[in-house]
Amino acid sequence: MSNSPERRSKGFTLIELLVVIAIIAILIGLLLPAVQKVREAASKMKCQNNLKQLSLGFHSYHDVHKKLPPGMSPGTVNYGDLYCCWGTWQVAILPFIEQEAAFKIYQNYGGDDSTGPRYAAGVNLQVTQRRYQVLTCPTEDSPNAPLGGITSHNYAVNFGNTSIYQVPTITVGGVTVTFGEAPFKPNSGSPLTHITDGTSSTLLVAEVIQGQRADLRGFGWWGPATGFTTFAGPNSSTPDTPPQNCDANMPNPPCTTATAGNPTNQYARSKHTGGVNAGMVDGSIRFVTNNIAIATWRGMGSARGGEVIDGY
Amino acid sequence: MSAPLKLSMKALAIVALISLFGCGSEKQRFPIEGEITLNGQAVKEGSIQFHPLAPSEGFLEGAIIKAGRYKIPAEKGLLAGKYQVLISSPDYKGKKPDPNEAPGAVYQARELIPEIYNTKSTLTVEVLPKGQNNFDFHLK
Repeated sequence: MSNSPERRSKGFTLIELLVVIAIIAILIGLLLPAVQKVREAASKMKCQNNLKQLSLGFHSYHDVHKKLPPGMSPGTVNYGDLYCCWGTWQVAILPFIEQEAAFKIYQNYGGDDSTGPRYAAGVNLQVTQRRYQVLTCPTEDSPNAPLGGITSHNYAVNFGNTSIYQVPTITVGGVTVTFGEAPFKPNSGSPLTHITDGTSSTLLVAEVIQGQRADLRGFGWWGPATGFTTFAGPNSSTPDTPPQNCDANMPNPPCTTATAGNPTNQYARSKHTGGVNAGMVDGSIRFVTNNIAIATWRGMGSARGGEVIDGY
Repeated sequence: MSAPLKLSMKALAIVALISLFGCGSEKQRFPIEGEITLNGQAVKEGSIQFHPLAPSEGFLEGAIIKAGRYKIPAEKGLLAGKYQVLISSPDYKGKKPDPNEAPGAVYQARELIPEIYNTKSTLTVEVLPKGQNNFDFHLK
């Protein structure tokens, strides 16, 4: 008994060490997925918080101007450029998301080519080359600046249920989708009283994924990228149809260039698992799953369509 | 066998049954793929959309066409049922805008596919609940 401590070697045997390492490995293996899930949940919440801030910003804008800001540009002159380039809602909302200083730098908001520079010229670059945290979702692992250092972001406003330029109907043989109005139009915004489908069942703003390389999805300083439509569902495999710079190679979402038979469109997309975050006009934030029926999602996209929307 | 053990075995069996059939209510999506030609030639680029004829339940899904082929994976697939099909392909006519220039004017590509395959589509398919569905379209 008394001499046993001398007979035992000090320290651990190899087997003991291996067992301990194996146990630790198993514990880490159990823990790691949990940590990942918590991280994903946290970034999803951060993303929803951004949507809440934007919704509050839109409501503050509405308090001042009695209507929502124009989606693309408030200009009345259409140079054949379809309100592309003189300041989108992302500029209009700046004073209401505590970016008053940036808004003061921006020139020619609400103007046209006869009154000043576009978004990609002169001092406006000081505003459009910046990245705004409140416009960036943390699940976006590679925020992009596709052209000349001008930034893409992760949120787009609701342009209704047909196409970005709000064609009255989209017909595909026996299927017809009729435009049911929207909170945002290319050159004007709607007063909340015009949203007769109900503010809690009409979408205001949702997520998009930033295109990589020269792809312009999420390039919200430029008209056609400022909005999304509900023509196709959240994270649909249906390709987006930008008018130019479509790059469908990985990791970009699918796309093909818009044509007369397949008008300009950008759909709600996210890198969260199973759906997208969206803000409703009443300021509530929801997570909408990819499995929402297309008729319900289109009903949520229209502001005056008169659709009956029950649970989703 | 003692009574409590029997009970726990029964409980275990019930749990196993629920976990086997619990997810059965999830709508099942089926993968789709196929090839698309126009006048005998593979369509170089473009897109295909499947519009559900029962939109209150179905999803609008689609895919890009690359070198005459398209593919919708199972996780984005379609529910069983009937669909109206749209096929579109852009025709740039040498006017493709420079991707390295800050975009301004909105460019509109022409449509290469005849309208009886998109806006006035006469193409209808039925997705069968059998796993992989293949739909080839040989357009004229």
